[in-house]
Amino acid sequence: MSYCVNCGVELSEELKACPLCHTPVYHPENAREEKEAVPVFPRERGEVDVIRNDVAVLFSVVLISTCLACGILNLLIFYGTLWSVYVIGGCGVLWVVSLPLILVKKPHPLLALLGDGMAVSLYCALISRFHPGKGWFLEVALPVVWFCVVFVGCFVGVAKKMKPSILANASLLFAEAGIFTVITELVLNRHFAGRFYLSWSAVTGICCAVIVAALITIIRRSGLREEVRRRMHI
Amino acid sequence: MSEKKRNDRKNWYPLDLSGTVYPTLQRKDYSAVFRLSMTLDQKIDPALLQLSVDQVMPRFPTFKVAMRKGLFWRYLEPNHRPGPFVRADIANPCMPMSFKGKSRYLVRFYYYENEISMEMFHSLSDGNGGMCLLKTVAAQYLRLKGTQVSCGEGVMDLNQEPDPEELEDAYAKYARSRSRSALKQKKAYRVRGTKEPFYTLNVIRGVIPVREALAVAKSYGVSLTEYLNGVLIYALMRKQKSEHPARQKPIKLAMPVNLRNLFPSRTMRNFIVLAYPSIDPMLGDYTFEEIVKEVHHYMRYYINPKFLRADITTDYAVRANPLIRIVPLFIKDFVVRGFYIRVQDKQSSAGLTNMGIIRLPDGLKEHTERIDILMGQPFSARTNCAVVTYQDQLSVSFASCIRETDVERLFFTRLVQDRIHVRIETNRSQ
Repeated sequence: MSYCVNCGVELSEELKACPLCHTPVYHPENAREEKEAVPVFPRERGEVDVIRNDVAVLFSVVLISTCLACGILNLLIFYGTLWSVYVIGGCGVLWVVSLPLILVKKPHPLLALLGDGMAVSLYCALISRFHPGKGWFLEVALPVVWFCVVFVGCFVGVAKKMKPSILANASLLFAEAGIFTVITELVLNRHFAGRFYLSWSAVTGICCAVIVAALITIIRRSGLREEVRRRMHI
Repeated sequence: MSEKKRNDRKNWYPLDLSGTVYPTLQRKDYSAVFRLSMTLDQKIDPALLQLSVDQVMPRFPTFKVAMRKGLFWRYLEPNHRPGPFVRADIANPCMPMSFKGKSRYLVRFYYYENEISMEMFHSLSDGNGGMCLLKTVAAQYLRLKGTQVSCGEGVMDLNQEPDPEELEDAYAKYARSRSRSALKQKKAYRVRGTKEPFYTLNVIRGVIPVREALAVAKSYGVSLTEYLNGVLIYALMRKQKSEHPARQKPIKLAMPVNLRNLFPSRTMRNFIVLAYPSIDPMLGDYTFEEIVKEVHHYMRYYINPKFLRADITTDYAVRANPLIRIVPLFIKDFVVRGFYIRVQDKQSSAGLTNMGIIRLPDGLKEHTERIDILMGQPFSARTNCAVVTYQDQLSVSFASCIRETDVERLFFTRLVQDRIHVRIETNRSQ
């Protein structure tokens, strides 16, 4: 048997560190014999039975019924314009966005994001088929959608890989939001005015930059960081 | 309609007063589940354990049930599906229980080495009722192995029909006080920590010789329960102090009181009420002796039939109010859940459940080495403590869904400072 030199408690045989204070435990006899004690608690994790397929089926049935009903109404009663196409497209986007979240316990976020981007792009393509305009699909919709996907993907990727603190996550979020608004306005102005220039997004960009600067300062100053964490319980 | 269905329609059970709240708080990642374990002196045979469970469950009709939703209330009805099935134990106990799971049972049985564990959804019963079931299962298991085990001390006779008193809602029987207690509104200090991933329950258990603990409690002039409450409050006080808050909040424990000791009842269902021993650090710095004395006087003052009956009556009056009874269930769920999150959950810093001394009948006690209890995942990110005594062993189990172990460390090191030997076990990965 071993005792924690910090807490003074006796530790069960299989423990390599004290669970209360994480002080490592040294077993001089076990180091020679390399004995593996039977753990007091089992090691295999359990999973909760969750009925996912039923929810997915229900969700799909509701969406399909909506599409069918709108299609029939459009064909037989309200046949002035092809309005049901927009409803059916919207249901399709909703289905693609929601189904991985319902069916898969831990969906891969980047793959799901990719799928969502494709779904929204296709929906915009469908709308542009009926309302081509001045080529807004290629010049506005696609760039905005895919910049959004890239930014969200970066945020999620950084959050998963590097596991930054809440303050770091917030500063990344504001930085991306500022850059995204700038890019959106540049794209819109290029399409409608024929040239790149900034107006409203300069204001939002500056605000986001100020917030990011404040957050970075808080993160780098340990006193401020601890104070914010204490006050906001993060 | 078949005979079975007709009987089911007659034999349904409304949820008791405590049991009504738990389904409302049900979340994807939370169920009000507790676990009881018995460690025998021999390795468990899963097939025999399954047979024992199958033979015992019909003796406890209020546990062989499924949860159903009505228009105004939830209720329990007999469950004739196969099961519950025993399973190999897992590292993350007290996982959420789905009401619409495969077999719909709200009881689970596990085996691991020499240990039989039982998890139960809190709407069915409290620790005392659950312990009766576990004792009876263990006794029947040993009988199937050829050991003579007598009935009594919580081991029920399988040849007897369930007593109607075992099925009663004891709250309704004793909610007759002329006075009502005030609703408690003061917010308590809440432990913060880094939440663990989904379905992770960190358990740290301390096994303590009862003689040493009793001797120390006696030296302070208090009972063992009061002493342990005092130690936990002391640990929480030091934890709060280490966070340097702008304003310190009261430290309050939620301690279930077994009402069967004060109001005679043989019910197998919930029959508890919560007491809140507390200190307020804003009044000044407390020494450990002062904390223990404060808890001692609170228990002496508060734990008596009159105050507790007033508490039962207050809680029961809300449920029995005719205007509340006709409110649809989904509105009740919304209001009760909101009240719990905004008020009830903030009234205590941690929970401490003490099941007291467990006695076993002849035949069973010779083969039982240890008994443990575990409160399941807390509703909010904090830690809960459960204590049970069997023969010379006092088992103190902390269950939390946060990574930090400060409260546990402060608790057990305080016991060590009082020269109590503590042996630590844990399921935390090293």
